[in-house]
Amino acid sequence: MWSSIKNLFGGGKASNGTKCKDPQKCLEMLQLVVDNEADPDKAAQFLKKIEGCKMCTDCYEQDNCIKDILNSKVERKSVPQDVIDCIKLKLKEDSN
Amino acid sequence: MEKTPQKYSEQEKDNIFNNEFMPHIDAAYNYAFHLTLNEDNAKDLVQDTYLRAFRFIESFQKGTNAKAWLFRILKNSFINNFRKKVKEPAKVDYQEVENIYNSEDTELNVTADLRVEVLQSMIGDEVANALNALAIDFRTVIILCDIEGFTYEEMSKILDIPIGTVRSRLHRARNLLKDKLKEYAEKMGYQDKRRSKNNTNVQ
Repeated sequence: MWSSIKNLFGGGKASNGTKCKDPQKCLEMLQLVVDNEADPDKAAQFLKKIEGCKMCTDCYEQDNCIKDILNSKVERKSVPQDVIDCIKLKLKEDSN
Repeated sequence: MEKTPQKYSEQEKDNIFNNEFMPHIDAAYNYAFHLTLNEDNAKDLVQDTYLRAFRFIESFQKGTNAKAWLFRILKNSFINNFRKKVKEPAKVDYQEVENIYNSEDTELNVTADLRVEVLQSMIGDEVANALNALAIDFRTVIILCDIEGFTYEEMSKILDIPIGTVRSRLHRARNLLKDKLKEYAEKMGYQDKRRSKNNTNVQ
């Protein structure tokens, strides 16, 4: 697990040359922040904290962007009307 | 999620069905399509889900999260009736994933050079294809979280897995999706500058 995190964060070293002090914690917190699962105050503190770490800010921007394009660009299918008609018909038949 | 069965009149059942269940039918169909990757199977799955929902309506508590309740029925119905029929990427072997995740030799594909601008320039079909190429359990958590906007707690209830598993599965799913998106990005002519640089340094 630790080696995975180290790899993900460039061996625990940010690309601006400074070390990410706690990559495991950053990784966990990044996910919570991106998914709006973190307490708002803690999220704000975390985002302030990672300002100096390029790797963390890049990961944050990338994850946010992927979430955004999934939400905005993937076509949302609408159910065909015949499915709705069929459901209503079957329920009507069952109730009779 | 299961509560003490309610007693509803026929009128109340109709009201719940029409006012609390039906508004989510497009989302349910969208989820069904991403699970089955086939319009006819998605139609059957949604129909089956809604008929079951009506049949078991007394186990739904009025005013609670109807969408999550319906999605849970849909997921169970898919597993019981459709999963065997659907041609899909191989089922995830979680032990194998865990081994990969913990291996000292693992080189996770660092995607820090997958630029935001490149991602933003992708069209919906490319993103959808990358998503649909994931194994179903990984695809599912991304759909529920990033497309349908469910919380970790809701996902935990829909999928019947602990929140910790939701988080780790989501993390793994996103890394795999990044790999797929990166493949598309490279096809578009984008090159991983850092990898090229590292290769040059090694030589």
